[in-house]
Amino acid sequence: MRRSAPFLGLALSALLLLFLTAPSGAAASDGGQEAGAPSGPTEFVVLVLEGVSSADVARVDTPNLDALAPRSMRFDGLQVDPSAPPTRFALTFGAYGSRESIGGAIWPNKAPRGVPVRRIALPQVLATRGYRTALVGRWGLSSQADGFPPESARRFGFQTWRAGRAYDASVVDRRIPRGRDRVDDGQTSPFGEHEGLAVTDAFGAYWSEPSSRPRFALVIVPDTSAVAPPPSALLPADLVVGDDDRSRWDAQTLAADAIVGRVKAAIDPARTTLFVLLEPRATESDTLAAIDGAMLVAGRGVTAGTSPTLCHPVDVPRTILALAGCEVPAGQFEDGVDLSAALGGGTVEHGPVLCRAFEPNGPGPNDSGRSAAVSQDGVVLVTEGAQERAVDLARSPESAPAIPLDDPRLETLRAFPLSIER
Amino acid sequence: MDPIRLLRALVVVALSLACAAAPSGFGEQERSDGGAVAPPIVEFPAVERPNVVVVVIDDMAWEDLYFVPTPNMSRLIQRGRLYTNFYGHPVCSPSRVGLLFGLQGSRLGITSAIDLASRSDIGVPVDEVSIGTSLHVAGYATALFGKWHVSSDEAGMRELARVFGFEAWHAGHRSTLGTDGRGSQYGWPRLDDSILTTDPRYASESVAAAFADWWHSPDERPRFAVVSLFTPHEPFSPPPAELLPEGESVPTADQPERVRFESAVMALDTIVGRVAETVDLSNTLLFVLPDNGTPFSAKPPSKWYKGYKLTCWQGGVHMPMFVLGPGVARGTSDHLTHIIDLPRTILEECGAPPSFGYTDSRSFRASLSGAQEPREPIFLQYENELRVPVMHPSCWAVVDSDGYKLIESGNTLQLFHLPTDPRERTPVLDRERITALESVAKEFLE
Repeated sequence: MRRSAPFLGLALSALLLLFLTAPSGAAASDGGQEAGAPSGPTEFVVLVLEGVSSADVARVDTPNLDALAPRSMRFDGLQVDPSAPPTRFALTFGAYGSRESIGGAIWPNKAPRGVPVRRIALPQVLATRGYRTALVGRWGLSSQADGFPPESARRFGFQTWRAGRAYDASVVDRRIPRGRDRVDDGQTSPFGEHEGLAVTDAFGAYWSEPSSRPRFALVIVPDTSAVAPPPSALLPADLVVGDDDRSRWDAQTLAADAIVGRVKAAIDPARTTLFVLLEPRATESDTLAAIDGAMLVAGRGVTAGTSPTLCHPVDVPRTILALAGCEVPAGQFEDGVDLSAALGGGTVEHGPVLCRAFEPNGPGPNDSGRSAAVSQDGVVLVTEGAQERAVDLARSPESAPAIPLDDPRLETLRAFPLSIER
Repeated sequence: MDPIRLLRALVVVALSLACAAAPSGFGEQERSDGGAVAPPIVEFPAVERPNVVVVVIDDMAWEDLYFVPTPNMSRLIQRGRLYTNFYGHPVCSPSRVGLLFGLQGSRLGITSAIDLASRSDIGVPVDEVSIGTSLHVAGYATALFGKWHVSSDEAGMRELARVFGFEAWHAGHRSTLGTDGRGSQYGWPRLDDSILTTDPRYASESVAAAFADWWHSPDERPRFAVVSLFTPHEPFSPPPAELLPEGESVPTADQPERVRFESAVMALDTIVGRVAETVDLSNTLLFVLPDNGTPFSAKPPSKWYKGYKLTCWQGGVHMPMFVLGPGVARGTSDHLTHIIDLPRTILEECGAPPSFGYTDSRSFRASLSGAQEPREPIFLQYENELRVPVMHPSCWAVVDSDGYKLIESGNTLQLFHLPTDPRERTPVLDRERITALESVAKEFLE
């Protein structure tokens, strides 16, 4: 199923052509497991590009993503939450944010609690198997009632937390001195540079540290398009960013592509599996556009191609646990599906996924939000406040024809969100 | 010391010397090892995924128990299993590294008490896996109460135990509460999940109360708790009267250290009793153990041993440990155990044997139900970092399952046979054994 911009097909064709004509030696540097590849455990890097959609990528030149695509398994069926924090929660805990009443940004003085400490995080499981673990970038999943904010991510097993932010915006929390929002392993300092660049540099520094153990890193490149344009270091030479939204968004996409290039250059694809997630802007008013993500997976253990499977960031932890040979802790990562078979070119059955954002967080009424329940056959039930609508993306991804609200196929989708409430 | 206690002490000393064996009990203990006479008595049948509580006593050894009334611990020992060959390093931090991570402190450069004032960066690296993380991942509710003391000073000091996988850290403090005369067991800076307050109560009493609160909070998961007390470690603040046995008076602040220390041991005994009463021993394994021996500033007047805390002589490293709960056989065990062995033993009991880490830990699980197997020799170490008087030179020791102990202290290497010479008075010459035990030490010293 897909409903993205019409030029996506063209882009994919071009990428396929690139793949077919790429020199065979290139695979060794960009992906695929070659004969004589290093043995030992696989390392994992999950790079999340917040505020960048497939449609954004199709608008500008993105040479690094273009070069990665033909060596990747591409999941155009990735549906994300229309808000960054629940998506990050899903990536870390393999469960929907609704399970813990997390539907949006956590404001320290409003949210009663963020993620409860009883939750088992992906890095904690990996650590018990000898992995070193890191979060580079934002957390935003804990409130001030949960503990010392500059240690929020390390409480969940990210042993290293660099270029981090405890909250999604500069906020009043007396334990974070004003203007010192950047967190590095419990220390606060001013960001001093563009957050995306800081994240990229911090990842590069972390990954270049010698390590006798395999590593896992979650790298969050935040949507800062409303705050400041990317620095020239991440943009093509001589580009002048216009003062309108569209120019800023395009600049952010260009910067994201440069970041992909830097991350790719830092890792060894023969040893590492790289997940790149595109996550549309949460401010996107059309819910269907806001959930329309994409995922490229490249590197060790990955066959190049396109997977038709429906998926959600919630699937990433179970997939990594499977690839790392870890048992899934009982009752945890409960909403995820192991996609590792799809990475090898196989098919994966996937039930419906739920994409949801709401405010405020916490139990109690939060009907201000929006959600979309999506089935593998392309039926989407969208709920915006009290309004419902349904579309059939399978019949026509571009025009997304409406489905009558009494269509029997919607019954399952209507019941689905209720089944995963906390 | 009053005349009655003096008399009791003399009787106990006389009895123990008459036995010519390592102090191994508290009155009549049923010896269940090695005897084919009767099957071990198990008060509660073994259960799957039991709760586990580890009570850590800060600075205490066998000799202290002989001179201080400890009715609660004595009663618990009668119901549980007493380990007569239990050892720890002669100082807090490396012992606690062993307890929490199953690692020899020397692997991490931790061979002395971590001195926060020095602002050194020595501490357990955050990428080491603690028993807190392992049991959290195994589905346990995990918490640590009280003293931490395996990390250096850093911004994250407010969350140390939680950064290492314990879901809760209540009534916590990153280190000890100061030295005698320059600190107090009252009015101490207390952390509860990163919230810092000043607690007017006697610290260990608060630790036990915080544990009880957490234990009674709703959670359907099995639980794992480390109850890490601040006593009887210095500062030897006189404990509250209600923690002392009837008839015992609260010492004044100007009384000698040993008097105040013994008072703290009595208070500790009451607190251990409270912790034991909090849990249900039919589904909870309770381990009670000190981290190292008697503090050198509060030596017992009997002075059985050549050295105490900060030395590798028996007074610093040989301690009582007892275990109660499901599947635990009553009696005593002579199984050689090291504090480092706790994590692997507990993880196995909880159905979560580790696949990574805990390199130096050896499970003594089988011994809980009465079995006894030889353990490879254990290694003990203290390095003087010149912050304490030179009367405590760096030392190391290796003890084997036959009861031989090779000790290097003050550049002198000596071998003792502990079953016949528990006070380490007469070195024995056994070159082959010396070579064998020295090679064990070399592995860790290098």
